[in-house]
Amino acid sequence: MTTSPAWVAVVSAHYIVYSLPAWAVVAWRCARLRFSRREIAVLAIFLGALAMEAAQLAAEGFEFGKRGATWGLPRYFGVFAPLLWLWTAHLLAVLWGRFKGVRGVAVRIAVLAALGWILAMQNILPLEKYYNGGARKDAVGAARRAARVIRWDYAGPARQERTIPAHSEYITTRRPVVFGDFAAAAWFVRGQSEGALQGYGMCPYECDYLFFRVGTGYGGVAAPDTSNFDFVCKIPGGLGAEWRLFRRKGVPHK
Amino acid sequence: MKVEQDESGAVGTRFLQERVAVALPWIVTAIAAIAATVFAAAFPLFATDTAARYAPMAEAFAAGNWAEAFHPRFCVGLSVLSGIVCFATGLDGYAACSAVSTLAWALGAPCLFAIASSVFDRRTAWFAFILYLICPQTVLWGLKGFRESFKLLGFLLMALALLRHASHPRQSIFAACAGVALLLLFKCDAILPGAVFSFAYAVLDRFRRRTWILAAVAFAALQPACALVWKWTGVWLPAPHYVAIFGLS
Repeated sequence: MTTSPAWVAVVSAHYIVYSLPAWAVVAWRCARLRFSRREIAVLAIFLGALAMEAAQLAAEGFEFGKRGATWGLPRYFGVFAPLLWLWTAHLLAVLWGRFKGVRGVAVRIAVLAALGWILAMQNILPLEKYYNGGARKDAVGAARRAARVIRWDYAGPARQERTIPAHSEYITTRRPVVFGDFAAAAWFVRGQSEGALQGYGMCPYECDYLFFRVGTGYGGVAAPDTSNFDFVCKIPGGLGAEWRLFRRKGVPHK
Repeated sequence: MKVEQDESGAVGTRFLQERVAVALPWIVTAIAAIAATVFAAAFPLFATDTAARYAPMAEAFAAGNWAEAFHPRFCVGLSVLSGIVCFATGLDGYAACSAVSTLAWALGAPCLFAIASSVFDRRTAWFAFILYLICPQTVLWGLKGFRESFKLLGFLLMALALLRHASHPRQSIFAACAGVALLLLFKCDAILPGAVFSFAYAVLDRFRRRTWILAAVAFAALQPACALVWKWTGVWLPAPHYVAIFGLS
């Protein structure tokens, strides 16, 4: 979990590979007094949107000066970034058209290489890793296997009586409630994920199944208390890590 | 006679080139949108928010379980869109969320192209278009089925409407209406920017006819969220965090 100051997350939310050249171009154009009225309008829309987002978070009690969990900030602030990237695009366009002859060809090759590098190394390769390697694939594989076990094992109701939940979080009436290192695990069972609610301390339902990886925790739940749970089975993850499934004592099962 | 044929041929070719130049960003967008949406539906990236909230909400909408299909914190837009996709195609809730979110992401590309064209030039617009499509950050929101893609699309449409207000008034009102609807229907934290940008549009329009069209669309788009908040909290406000901010809970 990121614990850097919030402003770092806000800056990095604009995708630093694009935003750094963009700010440089903005500064350069301002210094040369080449900033057009339309550019001023775009910058005003961008900064205005950022300010409104920050003001809303501050009104809800978020402290930007403090170090703390900033995992949600890139999604809040990154949305406005494409307007900033216009100046990165302008830089590339100027480089593309400015030089003639051999130098021009070299610059164009360099621009294409930069775009190719972004596409390959920043986009396709991480996506490929996301799908075919790393902790996420291990967790998804384990969650799929655990879902089969839970569907076979669980003999309780598929739904439970509806209680009107707190307005700040979404809660379904689906059962079983699954909690563990991989918070999306409940989805594969079509049950209720307690993971999203645990942080708020507001889940009104008791967890039916605990599902976590042995050793270091996947999502920050390294050593859950299993004293009130029965061990069900070990489950291999998608990349071979060992996961364990526990059932709460008293949950109807086969 | 020969000269006339040549001239008409040249004019015809130029006309065709201009048409192709105008259509090309849309053709590329259509290809990217179809490819990315199919990819997202087939291979969604599992994220907690979508797995725990949006996907169950989409399936609840498709099943007609209205009590679980909507929640005031998450507005109504994604539940309705992904629920319709879920119902119409038989996709599961997660795949439906990823597909519609990725589609929204792809539609942002021609908006950015249009913005860049009006601020700089066509070459810059093409580079902005390419940078947007290859950016890993924005496409991930789509693949994960997040609502940020809709907020991004709404924001770009509003920016386009503000920038083209004077030069393309008819296009700008359509962009403004679509943009404000997206901002108000999909994310609670986009309601304030949606309202402020709508007001900015009204000032540019000097509160004439188009302002009232935009105001009517914004008012209509706010009502579902207000109704949900009212059902949960008893206060007619568009987002639950406003209830806390105004000390009404």
